[in-house]
Amino acid sequence: MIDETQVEKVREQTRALTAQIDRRIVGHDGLVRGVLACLFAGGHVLLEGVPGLGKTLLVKTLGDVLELDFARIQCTPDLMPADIIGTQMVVENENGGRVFEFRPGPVFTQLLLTDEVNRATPKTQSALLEAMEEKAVTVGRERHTLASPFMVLATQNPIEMEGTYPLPEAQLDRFLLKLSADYPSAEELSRIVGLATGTEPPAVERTLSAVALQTTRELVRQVVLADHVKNYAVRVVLATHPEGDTAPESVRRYVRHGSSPRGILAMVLVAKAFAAMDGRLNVSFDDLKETALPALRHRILLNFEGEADGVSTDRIVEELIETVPVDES
Amino acid sequence: MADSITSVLTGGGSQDAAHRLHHLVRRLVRARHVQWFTSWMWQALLSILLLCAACTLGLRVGWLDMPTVKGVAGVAALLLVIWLVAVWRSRPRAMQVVLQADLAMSLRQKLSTAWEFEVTDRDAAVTASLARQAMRARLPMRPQRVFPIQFTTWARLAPAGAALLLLAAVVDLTPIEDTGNLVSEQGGRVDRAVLDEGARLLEFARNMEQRALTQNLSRTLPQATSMYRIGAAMRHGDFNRDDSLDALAKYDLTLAEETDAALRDAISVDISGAEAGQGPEMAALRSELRNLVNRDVLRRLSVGTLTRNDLRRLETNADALARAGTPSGALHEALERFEAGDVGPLRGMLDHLSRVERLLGDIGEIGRARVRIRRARRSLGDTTLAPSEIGLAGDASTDSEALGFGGQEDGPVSGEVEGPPGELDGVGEGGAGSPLPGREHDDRELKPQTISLRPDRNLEGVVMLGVTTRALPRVNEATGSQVTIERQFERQVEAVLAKEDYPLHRKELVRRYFLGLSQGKAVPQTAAAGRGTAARANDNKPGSE
Repeated sequence: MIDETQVEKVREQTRALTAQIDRRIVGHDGLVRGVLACLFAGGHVLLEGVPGLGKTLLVKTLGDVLELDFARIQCTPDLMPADIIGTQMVVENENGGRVFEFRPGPVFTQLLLTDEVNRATPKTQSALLEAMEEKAVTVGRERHTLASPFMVLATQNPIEMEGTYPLPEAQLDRFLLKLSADYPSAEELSRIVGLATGTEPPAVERTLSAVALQTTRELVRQVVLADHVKNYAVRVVLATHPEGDTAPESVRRYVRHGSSPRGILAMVLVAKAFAAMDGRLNVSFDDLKETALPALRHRILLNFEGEADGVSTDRIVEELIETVPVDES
Repeated sequence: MADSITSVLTGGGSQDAAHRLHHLVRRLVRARHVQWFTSWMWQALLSILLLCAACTLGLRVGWLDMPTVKGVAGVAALLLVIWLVAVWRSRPRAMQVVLQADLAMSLRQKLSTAWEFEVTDRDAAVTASLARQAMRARLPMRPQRVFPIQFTTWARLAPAGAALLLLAAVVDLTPIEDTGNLVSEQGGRVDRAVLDEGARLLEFARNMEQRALTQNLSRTLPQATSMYRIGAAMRHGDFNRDDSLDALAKYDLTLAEETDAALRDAISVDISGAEAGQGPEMAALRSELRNLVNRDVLRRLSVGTLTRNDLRRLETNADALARAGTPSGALHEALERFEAGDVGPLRGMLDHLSRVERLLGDIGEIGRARVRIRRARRSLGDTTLAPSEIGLAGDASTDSEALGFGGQEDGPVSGEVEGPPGELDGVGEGGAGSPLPGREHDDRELKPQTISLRPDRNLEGVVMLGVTTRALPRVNEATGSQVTIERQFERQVEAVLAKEDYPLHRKELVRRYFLGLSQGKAVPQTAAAGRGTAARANDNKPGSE
């Protein structure tokens, strides 16, 4: 059973990782915190933001500070599934005969950056789907297990629609969190200029091994979740269902489909990660509130009226956080 | 700090974390319950204060009687008990209290999670760890700091409720307070009309007494006292409607007799020889007399400091003095004697004039009192009084301090017009109007050398006095005794009519028949009686003539 010492260790790990990342990434505190929580929770993360905000740099930096294998896929429309998962090649064996041999693709890594994932075709995206969910790929008749830990960090541009293939809801659901990158402030911009226009990028140190990460992931799952806290998460997720009794007016009006059970799993898992990262043994309401937006925003499907009125799922979730009471009495 | 939350959570000794957690939660729950009940008690307190204020006011005003208030209090007590039970049953449970404490202290659910694990007996180690983590937070020293007594909106309104109760209890509502006490003591229903008329009579009597004292009106003062007693008896519920009518009728007769006596005095002081005219002139005469023969003049005469100016004013107002029964010859003679050093004639003349002035004041006050009494009788449903006998066509419910004939100088509106008391004391001074219906003014009876108390067309009380003035001795004309007989006959007619039982629509006809007999008129026909009834109905309307 988890104890204070262990969560304190997780907090120290978080501090160390954050300190290293802060050497290259200016601002984006929430983004970094979300990515680390996702890393500790064992999920995949979708980073969304306009070009140039440092999404890719963040993931590359994360790859540098973790003692994990790192690979990058730059998605394009002509990217084929075999380019990701690998392919069977005809090679000569020792006896001079020719046999098929599997050459693994970039997905066979521990930390995978899938840049501009919405530029890949649905076929390629689907190939990634099995890898993300099953942590294994099937080529021909052979099933190949991916390395552990395995984490996909995908980025996409929300404003550029031409030549892109928006991720289907089923694939979006595979991402534990969907994080948005915001524009930096003036002070952050000033720091970015200082960092990025130097002779060489700041060096970072590897601070977390794969084994340590695996241990941390196990610890995160042991963080205590009280029933009354869990019930709050349940109420929030149920409130996203337009046909539910507890749904607010905005949900009834603008939402076509609410969050799937993966939504509450994501909320709770990441909330546990947040609690552990803060050195706490238990999940709090604030953890769940902090998690709700990145965990639910891509799991709520707006109806036509919502799309027409320009309603965002972020607004829906924020309203839920405000209206759903923490105390069910 | 033995009471602090931190000490509870971290206390050493043999107490384990669970025990300490239980102890802490108990104290938090107690503090929260105190806060809970207090916040609701403000509401109850305000409700009780408002209810008490309403009941107190209702009692004092007379809307409620004591049995009703007791019933209300019983129901309120029952509701209070039910309310207390409901509040107790809906009190926050321990888990809710801990959760609220968590939120209040920003413990991020450490305490509530620990408590949940403790009560569900899930993991003692985690419970202890959570308790220790909670301890590291900045906890207030006492649970009462977490759940302080809240001064809600109800609490802020409670002083206003208390002030309202205080006002309802101590504000000067003397007249209605008496009513409330009466009702509460007797426990029965009170005739509101009797109470109201009693209040009006009390008010009128107070003002009448005040005027009598300030103007030295010897006849008015005892009448004011009598009216006050009747009013008090009515106001305090000692009289029912019948008793009130009986007492008012008797008092009306007393006032009539007092008027007769005043007029006899008038005859004795020989104001009949004065040059006089209509009612307003009489008021003017009294006003002039009050200016000429006031206390200061009499005092200066008694101490021998009468000034030339005083003597000049007497000379220049010889006409007024003549109208008051002091011929100019007598005045000149008195002044000459005064110049010669003999004060006696002038003193006698001034005493006479002062007496005349007071006499006129008495007549005016008693006349007003009669109007007030008749109005009260009418208000209480005295069917023996015809509207024309009330002496009022206006609103009979608006008596004021200045009520009386004094205001009639300003116009035909009778009785209710405010005006400075004492200055307009002429009886029936509204003489510009026409005679009352059914009581035509007969100029043949008015002689040029009498004080003509011509009736206001709206004031039957004035008519009575006007008839009395005709009793002033004149050669070959009606005497005072004849008039008295007429009035006695009229009263007898009214008394008999009041006792007899016959159809109401015939009552006016019968009354007119007998009154017509006394005045030597033809007996009215039925149709005429019908019109008379309609006319009376119109007389009762405010503003109608």
